[in-house]
Amino acid sequence: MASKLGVATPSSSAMISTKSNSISFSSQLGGQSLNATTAAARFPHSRPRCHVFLITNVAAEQRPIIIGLAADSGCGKSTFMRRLTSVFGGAASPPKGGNPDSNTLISDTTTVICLDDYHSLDRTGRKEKGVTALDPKANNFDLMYEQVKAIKDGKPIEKPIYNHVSGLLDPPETIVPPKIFVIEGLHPMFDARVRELLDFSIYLDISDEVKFAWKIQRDMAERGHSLESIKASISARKPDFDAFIDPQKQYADVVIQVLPTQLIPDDNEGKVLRVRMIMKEGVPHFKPVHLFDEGSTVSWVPCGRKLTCSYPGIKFFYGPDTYYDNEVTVLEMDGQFDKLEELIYVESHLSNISSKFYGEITQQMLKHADYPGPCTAFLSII
Amino acid sequence: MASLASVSFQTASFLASPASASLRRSNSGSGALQVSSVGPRPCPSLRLRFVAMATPTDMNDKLSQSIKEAEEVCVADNGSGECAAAWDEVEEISAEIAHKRVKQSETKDPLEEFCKDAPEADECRVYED
Repeated sequence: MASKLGVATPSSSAMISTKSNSISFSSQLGGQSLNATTAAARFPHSRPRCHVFLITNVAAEQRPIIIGLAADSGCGKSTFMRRLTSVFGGAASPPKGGNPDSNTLISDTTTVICLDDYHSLDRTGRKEKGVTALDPKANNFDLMYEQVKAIKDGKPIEKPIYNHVSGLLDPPETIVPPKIFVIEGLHPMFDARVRELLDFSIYLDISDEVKFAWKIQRDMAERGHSLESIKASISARKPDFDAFIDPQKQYADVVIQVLPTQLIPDDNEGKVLRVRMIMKEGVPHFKPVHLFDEGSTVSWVPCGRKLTCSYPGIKFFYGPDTYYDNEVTVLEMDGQFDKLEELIYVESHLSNISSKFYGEITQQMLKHADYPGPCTAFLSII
Repeated sequence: MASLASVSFQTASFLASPASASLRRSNSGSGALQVSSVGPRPCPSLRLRFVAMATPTDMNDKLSQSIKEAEEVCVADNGSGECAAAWDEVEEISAEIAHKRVKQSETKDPLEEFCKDAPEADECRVYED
């Protein structure tokens, strides 16, 4: 059934629970950060780009689906998540009537919580002990496991709130089990017990150059910051990041790598990006998308006689690979689309995305083209 | 109001004066709450106002302060846990500022805001065929 996202629409409750429903997820990552802090303001001229993978949910049970999303930007991923959740069904917004600094987002089908809420040390506590938020010592994994398990078992939880404005731990808020429960933060896959509970996991791997370019764009305008302070901040956190956050990549079902473009020599603006989606093979209910011919290696430049592209054009790559000893499929896109409408051309060549009709994905993207920021994430649920 | 986190107390005289009424309205921006309060203050017309604009200034002050602190700590002992924790705090505050900036730049249509909370209201009726 076509999602309620652009087409006239069965209720969202029908979407997830029916047998052999599949969720095909396409995210445009654009020259835009997967980091909320940079979303709208930063890359006003960059275009969306598209990556597609497919999750098939054959379960008819009512247990919530638990998805983990890991990346380093202090729950600033929520712009990405906000669009994603609104595409799953319903607009996502913070809990009504609750703590205004809550990090939680709730839509009709999805609840997204920020794992910063499981900090065992608040900002002052971390300063005293000399630990960063990246350090496992600053996080209560026992509570995280207990509560995610409770949600999975269909029980509501009283989840603490970490207030990013004050840096303190606020009184808890009640979260009831939704259809889709997303935990986003620094350590969704760090603890083995929590990992076991995840039905699907995504790791956003932003390369150092891109991270640096984005942070400069995000912070340079702020009073107090300088190029040196931004550099110092990144390098001071790097040891903990490499030790605790980065290793989670090996456990993720999908790793989305954001790298500098290879189409523009010596580019340091970071407006055009190369995005690679590394999809693990053999994950239950998850079939990686393929381009033209499953299992082959394909390098494709769609620009030419049928599709006109502006500089620097678009380049796709698809092929099998190994990643941390796992068999994976890699789908990669470099460049940017000239017109959103031309995506339909590309969509028609992507296979295994199980959209209901030709053009559905493009229609969804067009519908969401007005979302704040050039990057829109969309989801086709069938 | 989801995005407001701090309260700014504005002087009663400024707010209460009729001349400032229009200024007050234009300052409402994305959701100012006006709550009349008779606190332990001598002036009964003191209003508590939650102003979106106060938050960025507070946060910016916090940011400048934390950057200074981080630079001091790291001069003394670069590569220590304290140094990393100090810069981590800078990163956290920067992220929060940028996050708030994005939230506020998502221009709020007052009607949309109202309809989010009261979709059955007459003003929010949608006619679709």
